[in-house]
Amino acid sequence: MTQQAVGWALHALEPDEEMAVLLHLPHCASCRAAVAEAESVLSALGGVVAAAEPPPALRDRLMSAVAQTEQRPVPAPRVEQPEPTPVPVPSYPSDGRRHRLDEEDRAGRRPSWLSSRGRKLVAASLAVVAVLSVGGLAVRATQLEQQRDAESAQAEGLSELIARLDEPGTKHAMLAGADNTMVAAVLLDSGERQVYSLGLEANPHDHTYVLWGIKPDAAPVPLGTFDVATADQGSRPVGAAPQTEDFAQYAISIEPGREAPSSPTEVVASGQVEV
Amino acid sequence: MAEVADAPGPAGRRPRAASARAHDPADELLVARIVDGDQTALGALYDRYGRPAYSLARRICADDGIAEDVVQEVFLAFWRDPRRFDPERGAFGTWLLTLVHHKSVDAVRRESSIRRRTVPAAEDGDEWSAPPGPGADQAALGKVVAGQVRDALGRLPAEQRQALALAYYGGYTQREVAALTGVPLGTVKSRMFTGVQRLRSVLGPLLGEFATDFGGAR
Repeated sequence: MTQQAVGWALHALEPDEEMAVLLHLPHCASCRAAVAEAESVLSALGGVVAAAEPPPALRDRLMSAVAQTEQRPVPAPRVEQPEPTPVPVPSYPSDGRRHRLDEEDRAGRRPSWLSSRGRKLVAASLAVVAVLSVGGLAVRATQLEQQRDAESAQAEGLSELIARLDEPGTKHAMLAGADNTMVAAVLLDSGERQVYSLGLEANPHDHTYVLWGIKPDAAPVPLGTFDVATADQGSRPVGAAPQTEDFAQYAISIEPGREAPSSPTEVVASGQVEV
Repeated sequence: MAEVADAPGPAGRRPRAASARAHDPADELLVARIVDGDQTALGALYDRYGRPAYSLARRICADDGIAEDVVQEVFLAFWRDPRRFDPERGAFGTWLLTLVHHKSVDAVRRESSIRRRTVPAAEDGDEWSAPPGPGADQAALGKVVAGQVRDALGRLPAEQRQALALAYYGGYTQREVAALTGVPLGTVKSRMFTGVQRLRSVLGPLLGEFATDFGGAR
């Protein structure tokens, strides 16, 4: 993967590879170091091109645009939280396939270093990957070109949704499966709770997915049921979200029957909430 | 960048370079003023970095107008949200040129006509081994540093230099480079990886000085 990290720093990977590296980096210090070192080397290459003086008008235009552009408001200082608060593992049945929520402290939280460059890339990559279906992540740029028109309407909706990740006050959680692959996202905005499937398998008709909210020292709360059809990668509202919803984590389980049980049977994805 | 600088790596890492990367008091001061909404500080930052940014964008885009758009977009994005740059992760110059590179590549990929014009220049890969022409980077970089970067590039095996040139200056993906050069994708990945590693091992001690030299010499 270190080799891919260099390709990532070069901005020379295909969209599916780029996404894979993006999801890998938060969990791998050596690849992050490889990216940083490669960026340092490459920026040195960028500095030895033949020098060209930018036209003076460019500075004027820039400063004029700056004068008309408001800065993004400073995010409100976070209330000091005892973080990460260990979330007790709910008493799931002893199913070897379940995803232990207590692994999330290690893997579920997107580190802050990703926020500068990564958020934009997450937005772009998610839109691409989601639109072109994650059934196989092997999305090729050429296919993207061909499908762009046909999918543009859906892409716009999806892009808008993902763009909201960057809006102040929008809470979200990236939900990873047992192998740390991100398979779903939860977005909370203005009393709306959207579950956004990126890689959830279609559920059998006699099963349902259930979204759970999890707080420290409390049992998981079932928030609603939803279905994922074949090749269905879109978003859907799940349950109603009060403005004050303050779960620390979300999890998705697959349940037999059509109703949410009182506690999750098999957790397929989970992740911590970020603002 | 503390976690990265401290990360284990090949023997002989250069802590000096890492610490130099993390510090440029002049930049840090300007960035802090920009965070506070000081427009003149953004102008000052542009005066330090506008030239290398424009030079790189122009090299990749091969179009003055698009290069100007890229540079404006990069600086304006930084103004809009200066917290995008995290001093802990490295020098401002490195961060900015990385952003300029990525935005330029994105622009090139949107403009296939530009791409075609870029191919020949990127493909030869010889530009680095040639002595710098008059008025080249000398004003923006210490002569010694720039010369050593060029030397290091010139000493790379030709196939590694070509692969890196196509990707970095041409904006080609590794898969496209494989198709263009007729070698397997895995080989292309390996060439780029090895090329960057070699450059790093040669240039390592200089990289920190380099990053801060973009603006300092102006």
